[in-house]
Amino acid sequence: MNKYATIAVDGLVRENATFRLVLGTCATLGLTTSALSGLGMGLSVTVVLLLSNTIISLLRRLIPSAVRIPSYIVVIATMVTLLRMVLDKFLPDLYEVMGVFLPLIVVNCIILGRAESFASKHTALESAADGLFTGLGYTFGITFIGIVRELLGGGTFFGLRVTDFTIGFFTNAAGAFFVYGILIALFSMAIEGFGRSRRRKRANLRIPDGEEPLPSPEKEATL
Amino acid sequence: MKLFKNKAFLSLLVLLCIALVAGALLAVFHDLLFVTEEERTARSFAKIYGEAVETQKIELPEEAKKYEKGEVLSVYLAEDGNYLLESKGTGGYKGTVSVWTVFTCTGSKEAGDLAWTGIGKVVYGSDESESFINKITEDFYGEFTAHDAEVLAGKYFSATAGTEDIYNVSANVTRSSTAIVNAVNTAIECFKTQILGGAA
Repeated sequence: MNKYATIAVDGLVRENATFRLVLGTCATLGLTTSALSGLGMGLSVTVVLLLSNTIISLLRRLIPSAVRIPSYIVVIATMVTLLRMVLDKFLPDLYEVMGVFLPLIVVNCIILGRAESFASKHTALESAADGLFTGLGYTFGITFIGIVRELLGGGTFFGLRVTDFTIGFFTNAAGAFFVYGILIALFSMAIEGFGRSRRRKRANLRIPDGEEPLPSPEKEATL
Repeated sequence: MKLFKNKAFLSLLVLLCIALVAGALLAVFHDLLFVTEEERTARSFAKIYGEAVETQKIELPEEAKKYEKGEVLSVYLAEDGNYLLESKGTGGYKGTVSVWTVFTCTGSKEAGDLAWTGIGKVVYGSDESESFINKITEDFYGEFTAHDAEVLAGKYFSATAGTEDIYNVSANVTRSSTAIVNAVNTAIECFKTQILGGAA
């Protein structure tokens, strides 16, 4: 895999900010009563991540280590304020829905985390790719939680009525924790299952003629 | 020139430069993307009517804007002859909630035959950190428009059960509901005394 494909797979799956790294949890729990607000938040974080990662990467040789964190915060806060202005001007409905969570993107640990661990050590193009795919991974996670909660709690899918059967619990904070926990477990199971089968496939490819292949996962479990 | 080789000074200089560039960028974009008060009001009208409408602002004296449980923020006369009052009510979870109340009317003040026929719509405006405001149901807002006969007879709304007023509350959002009820009551009182009463 080339390095951009690795960055993409890491951001979207292996180091998915929502389900694997469990970052940005405050907004994930607070803004997922509807799929649309989750999608809006996810895309907002993606834009800020993309811009802040690129700028921080471009400035990485100029910023002294002693003031790197305050410098990153200034860059991130500027990007978030710009985003707020753009949303207030052109998408006022989304701006209202996101409310207090929009300025809180400044302290979203995904953004500062990627700035410190990736953008400060890689080229601008790689950092932009990392920002984009980490943001899209987060968007996928937060939107998926929003879809599940909206469907179970309100009987709608992106605002369209699907069923009259609803369970109010899923619109509450407790419901958010419940859905989040279940989805983290399912995502981790899927990733680990996929990883196991890939490892087994590779191992079987290396078996010389006449030797027994490795047991299947079910057989392995019974052993 | 020794100063420019000092690590602490250089660090501060870089941070200062970043902050200055960021500040300049924000200042430029603030000018480009500034949303005026007129633009915000037009957005509220578009939310109420579903399209842009012509309105005329009515100025009220400051003392006519303050009431026991709320305050009238602005009054407009729409092209269809209805009055739109923006008011805020106290008693919310962390402060006040503002709403727009549409008073449907026939006739006009100029012709001397202005008659109030009821409440056409109540639309949420803004709030001060009401966490559960999005949980308020459309039924709650709809209830304000379903009691025209009683409101015209002099009744107000109440978020508390057991009073003589019309009971209206959104379940699990009682504090924000109370603020909205107070805002609507404030608008009704102002409309009755200032618009129908002839003070405006």
